[in-house]
Amino acid sequence: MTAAQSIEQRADAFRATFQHVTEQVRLAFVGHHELVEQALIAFFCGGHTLIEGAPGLGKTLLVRTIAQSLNLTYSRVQCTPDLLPGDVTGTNILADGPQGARAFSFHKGPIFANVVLADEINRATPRTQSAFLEAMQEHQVTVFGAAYEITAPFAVFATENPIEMEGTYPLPEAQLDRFFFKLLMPSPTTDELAEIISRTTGSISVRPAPQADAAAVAEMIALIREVPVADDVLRFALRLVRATHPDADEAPLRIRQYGRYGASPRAAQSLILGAKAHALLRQRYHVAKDDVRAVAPAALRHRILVNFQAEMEHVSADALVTDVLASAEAH
Amino acid sequence: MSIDSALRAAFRRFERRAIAVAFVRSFSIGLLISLLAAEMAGLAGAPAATAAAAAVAVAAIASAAYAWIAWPGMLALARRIDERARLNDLLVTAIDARAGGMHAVVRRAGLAALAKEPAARVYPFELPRHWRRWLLAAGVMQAVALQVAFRAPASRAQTGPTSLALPAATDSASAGGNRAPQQPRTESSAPDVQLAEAGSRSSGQAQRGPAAGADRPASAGSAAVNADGDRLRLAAADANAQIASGRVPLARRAIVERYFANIQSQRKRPQ
Repeated sequence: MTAAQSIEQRADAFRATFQHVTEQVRLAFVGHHELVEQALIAFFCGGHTLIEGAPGLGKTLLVRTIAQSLNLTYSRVQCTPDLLPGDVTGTNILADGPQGARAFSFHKGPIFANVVLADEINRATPRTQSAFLEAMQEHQVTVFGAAYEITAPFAVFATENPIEMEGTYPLPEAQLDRFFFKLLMPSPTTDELAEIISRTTGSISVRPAPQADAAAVAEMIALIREVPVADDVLRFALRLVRATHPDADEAPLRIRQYGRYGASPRAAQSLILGAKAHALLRQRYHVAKDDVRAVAPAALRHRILVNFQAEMEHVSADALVTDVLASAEAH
Repeated sequence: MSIDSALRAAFRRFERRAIAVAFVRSFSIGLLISLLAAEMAGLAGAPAATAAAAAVAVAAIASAAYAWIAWPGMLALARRIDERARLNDLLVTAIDARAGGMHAVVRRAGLAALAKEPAARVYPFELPRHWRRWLLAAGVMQAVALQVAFRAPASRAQTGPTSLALPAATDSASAGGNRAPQQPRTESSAPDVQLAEAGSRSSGQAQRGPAAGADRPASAGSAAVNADGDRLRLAAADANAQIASGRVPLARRAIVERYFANIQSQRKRPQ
């Protein structure tokens, strides 16, 4: 078998596994096909995802189903204002040793799972939110000076409720930037709602069957990184990122008018990695500008900080991302 | 043959087509401009055939130079083929030396795509992009050229000599030079009077012919020749009158001179 044939086989296996996982997710989660695909893309790129949606749309169900389909460990952290950092990372507990001597032993917190759901993360205090920071970036937790590694694959799915803003703590920019994608979950259509009711009020319950394991996920993550990117396409992605900065030459008029701060280099990483996964799913072995365009809204919307004028005039970050895409085409 | 050289060989077909198209497009514009310049040269007196040949040669050389300058690099070729064939950046990735990993698969896919794609579809022989503007510019240049060539000079000094360099009269049918038209040598029934009257009718400063001579009987053939000669002298007198009045521009003078020269040569041919 030649190297090219080996790659083609691995890519076929990638697409097959992705398709099977998607089908299992759809058994439990109705609609939002693009959102499901992008959530899985973020996971297979080794990134974390922030999902924003009103209560009751199935955000928790989505994340749990993904973990079950991939046969990975899953834990949920319900964020509340009284949640402490130790409740997330774990803490040392004084316990009796085998010879009766007492010693501190580290008890791992819920962060030590392959798939972690941080539900309503904006309700946790900034101190507790920052407990996720090291884990999300370094894949390890430091408690009392000792570092504890989190087993790969590791992904945090955080949810936000855009309705209840009282008593919440907006995520700081540093933590927002650590999320690979931010996905918006809209309300379901009438048909989708009918399907949801039909599934959830009947007597039949569906449990997704595992389609992969940690080793297969690791292989898929490695394969995505092998997809080549041409310099032309890379520069297109970089132009997009540069155009989000109000002081950049590439910035369109509305970014200069409504933007406060633009995307960091992590945005470029998210664009390229997400585009690579998107290309593989579309039967291609190279990244095209179309792939970058497809993942740009999810990768950029939480990284463009808008100013006060934008908030007053109800100009959303998504609208600015659209302008950025248009300006990048024009150059 | 390595993949890299195979890719270059596959691109060569498109490269040749791109250069041919660039040459033809630039030649069409260059020829238009050159022919306009040749026309202006012809109006100023240059031989038409030489001017036309020079125009074609200049246009061809300029077009070849443009095609050489506009020689597309591999990246430009790849972008163009990707765009026209809707390959979604396949070829720009295939030629990117920095790409690794799945690069071999991408290059193979690029070769397959190049083999299927006709070069004519990527580089069709279409009109230059702004061909209407070029045509309009040519029309404006033509109008300006004609206006300049046929414009009545502001002063007599711009016309040069105040009379035409008409061929010297060798027989009764030839027109006069920078002198008064000569009296026809064949007998004519009061042609001199008619010439003088016609000359006086054409312009106040018309050069008059010699005073009417005695009436002489004329044969039918010689009468026809005499009539032609009279008309010719009348035309020459009229032209000289216009030149003297400052109403004949340079280009028209050249045309008129050639006209009379042609008449002269025709008269010399045995009938």
